[in-house]
Amino acid sequence: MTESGTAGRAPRSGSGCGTALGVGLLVMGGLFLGVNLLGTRLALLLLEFLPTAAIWWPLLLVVWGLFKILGRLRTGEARFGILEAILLLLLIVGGTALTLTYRVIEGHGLQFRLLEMSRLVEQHSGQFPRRVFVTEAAVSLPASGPVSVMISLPAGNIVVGATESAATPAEIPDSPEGPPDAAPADRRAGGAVRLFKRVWAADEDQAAARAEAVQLTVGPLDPETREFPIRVEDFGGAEIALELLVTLPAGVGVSAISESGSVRVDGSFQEVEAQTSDGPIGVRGARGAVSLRARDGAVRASGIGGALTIRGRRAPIEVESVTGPVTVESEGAPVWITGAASSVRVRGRSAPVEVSRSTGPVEVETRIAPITLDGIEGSARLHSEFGPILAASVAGPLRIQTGSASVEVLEAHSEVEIAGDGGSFLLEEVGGPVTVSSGRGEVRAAELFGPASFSGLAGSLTVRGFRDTLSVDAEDVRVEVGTDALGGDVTVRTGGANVRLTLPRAGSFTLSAETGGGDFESDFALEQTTTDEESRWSGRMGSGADRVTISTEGGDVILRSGAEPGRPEVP
Amino acid sequence: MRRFVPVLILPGLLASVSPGCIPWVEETSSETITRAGVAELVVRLDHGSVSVGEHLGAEVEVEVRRSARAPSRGAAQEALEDLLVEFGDGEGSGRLVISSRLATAGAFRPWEQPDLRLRISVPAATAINVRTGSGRIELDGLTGAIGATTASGRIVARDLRSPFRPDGHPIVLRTADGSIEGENLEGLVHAETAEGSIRLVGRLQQVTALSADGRIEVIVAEGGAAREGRWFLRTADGSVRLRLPHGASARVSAVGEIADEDDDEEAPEWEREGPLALTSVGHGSGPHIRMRTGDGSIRLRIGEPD
Repeated sequence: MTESGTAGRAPRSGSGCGTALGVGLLVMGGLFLGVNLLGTRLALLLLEFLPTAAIWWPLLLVVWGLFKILGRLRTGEARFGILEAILLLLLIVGGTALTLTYRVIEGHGLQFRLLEMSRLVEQHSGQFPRRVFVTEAAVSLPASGPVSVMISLPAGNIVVGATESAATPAEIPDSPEGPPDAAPADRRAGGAVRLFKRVWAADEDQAAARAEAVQLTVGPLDPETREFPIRVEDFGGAEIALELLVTLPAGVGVSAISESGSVRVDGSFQEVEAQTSDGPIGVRGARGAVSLRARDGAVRASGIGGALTIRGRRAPIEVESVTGPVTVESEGAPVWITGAASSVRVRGRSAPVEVSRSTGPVEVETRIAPITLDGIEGSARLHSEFGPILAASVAGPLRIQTGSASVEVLEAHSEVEIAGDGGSFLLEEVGGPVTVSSGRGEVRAAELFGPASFSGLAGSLTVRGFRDTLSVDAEDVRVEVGTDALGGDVTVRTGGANVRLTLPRAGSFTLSAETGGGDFESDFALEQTTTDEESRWSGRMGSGADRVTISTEGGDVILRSGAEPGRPEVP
Repeated sequence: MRRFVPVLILPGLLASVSPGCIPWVEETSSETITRAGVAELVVRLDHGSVSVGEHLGAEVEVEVRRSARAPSRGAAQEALEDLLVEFGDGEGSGRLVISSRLATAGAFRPWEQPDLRLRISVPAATAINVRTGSGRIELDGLTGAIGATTASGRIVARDLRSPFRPDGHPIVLRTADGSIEGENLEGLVHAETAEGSIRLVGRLQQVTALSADGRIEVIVAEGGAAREGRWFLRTADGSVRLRLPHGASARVSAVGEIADEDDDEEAPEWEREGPLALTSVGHGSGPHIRMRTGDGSIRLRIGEPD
């Protein structure tokens, strides 16, 4: 029995899945046939055809469409089942993803990574043993005049040592105490270059051909720029690792740049520039200016006789013993600086920064990371939006600016100036003048030996022990001040907040206090004058040498004499 | 079921080419080098772990242990050879410098995983300065000056002694990313991590412990904290815990939330002064200990835990 419209023809079943299955089988069959005929692994085949597939996959849609049109012409109908729709969707989504992925790979110049992935599979088969080729060359430099040796390598390690050490770079001693002695450079001794080419190839001939694609150029000296090139250029693809070992006379300038790999420069070179994007950098004993640039590798510089400039991103930076100015930029990894004999300037967005046992001046700026100073002989200027700041044993003037970080100053021998919008501010043992603008933060200061000035909008202020003048100008800030000896005038003004002041029992001062509407308590005998708007108290203790003036618009005033009971002794 | 055959083939195909399906071969090698007359040991590794301990001998003994994982045995053996370790004697300076690098650095070979481990035994009182770009550092039973820095990795220190002198160098333990754990330490300690916790235990005379992100725990054993000095325990995010021995005397100040009632032990009485909490232990002399946290709790306890 047949239905009308299909007379004389067997009814078709299914919803087009057979077509989809057919396409799938064609693709899979082609792949496996390629594997069998070419003797290549499936993964290799896929990687090989990835660029082609990324471009030509829409051809499947074209073929499919033609197939549907032909079917319609031949049979008079063209069904489109749900599974076909799903398969079509998958094909379009998958193909588009493939194209976009390959465009990203192309856009970033990462095609060689696909090749490397292919090598992964080939390595697994043990097809590519490694062979090592060494190219050697002598470096002959003029005996006089400045020379900069420009070393460049596409990728790989660069190790530079000084010929005067007559040793491998690892044998050059560290110089944390300072730069090495400026030994006279014997340029006539020249230097040497050894380029190691480690090649992975199927056979000796291929390996040799690949090694020959790497060219080493040594010299000549450009008489105008005084630059002497040691350049490695790679005209091949992948499957090679390069390493450049260079010995040069001390006293020349060195520039060592590699795309990735480690860069190490040890010796008393005049000026050093080193750069790598993926690997550590280490420079020791340069007597001139040093400029280092790294991205993912740690940076260490020690015993530098000139200025030091470092730009890093995600790995720690360690600096020890530098005679010249230090400038460091880092994004996210810690910066440790010790023994900088000149200025230090650090910018670290989210990088913790520590500077210790340095001369200064020191300038550090971070956004969210902690700043720690310890043992700075000069001045310091610190700025952090949210990262906690600790400045200990700073001899010179100290200026701190913060958003709402916690700030702590210990043993500052000169003036201290702090400005912040909020957070906590702790000061202890400050020898010079103190100026704190605390915004809405909380302040606690102890052992202030110079004149002190505090201002704020809200929060609290506690001062314990001051030996010079004290000035407080605050709005809604609770003020609690105590000292066992006065060394100057005390002025406290608040808006609506309370004031508690503890003064020496046997002190000599003239006291004047007024409050707009708050209560008043005093351990001292004072004379009161009251008007409609305010109440005033005044009195003279001892010789009345220092003036103590308290004024609050609406807060209470409490005056106590002597040490307050129950308070722990505070340094 | 037949309809889903193409759909089922695809995940299987993808799984078959993923690197996880490839078997790895591991090769190892080990050699031991000895050097005499070494007063100072300097280790500079691009990558690798270091373990240093003292022994009774008069020589420095370095066991270099290389290991490498690769898809084939040949590739693994070659990767071992690419881990270069160099020894430098500072020509009569008494300093031994050990440095290492990976000869194939810069080449994209993610299927090779070389690993270097140095196990070093030194005579008593040898000064140690260890630095690695990536790897764990272990220090055990050392009595000389000690400095250890890793750019990424944990630091474990056991039985270290830094005899106290007013100008003495502390035991310096620094990691950019990793925890620091010190057991049975004695003397001055400076421990610092940018990301990780710090735990120090022993007869500690003065401690600086700084973490940008992680908890700090310091347990001072009997005989520690017996002098004037500046202690600083600070983390930007995490708790700070300090345990002092019975009989200790110190002034303590803290910034953070005081955790008084999170256990049954007796807690000290704290006085508030603005952002600071103050207390004293014993008769209140001795070191001034500063406990600071930007976001976490503060806990001070005296004596052994109940």
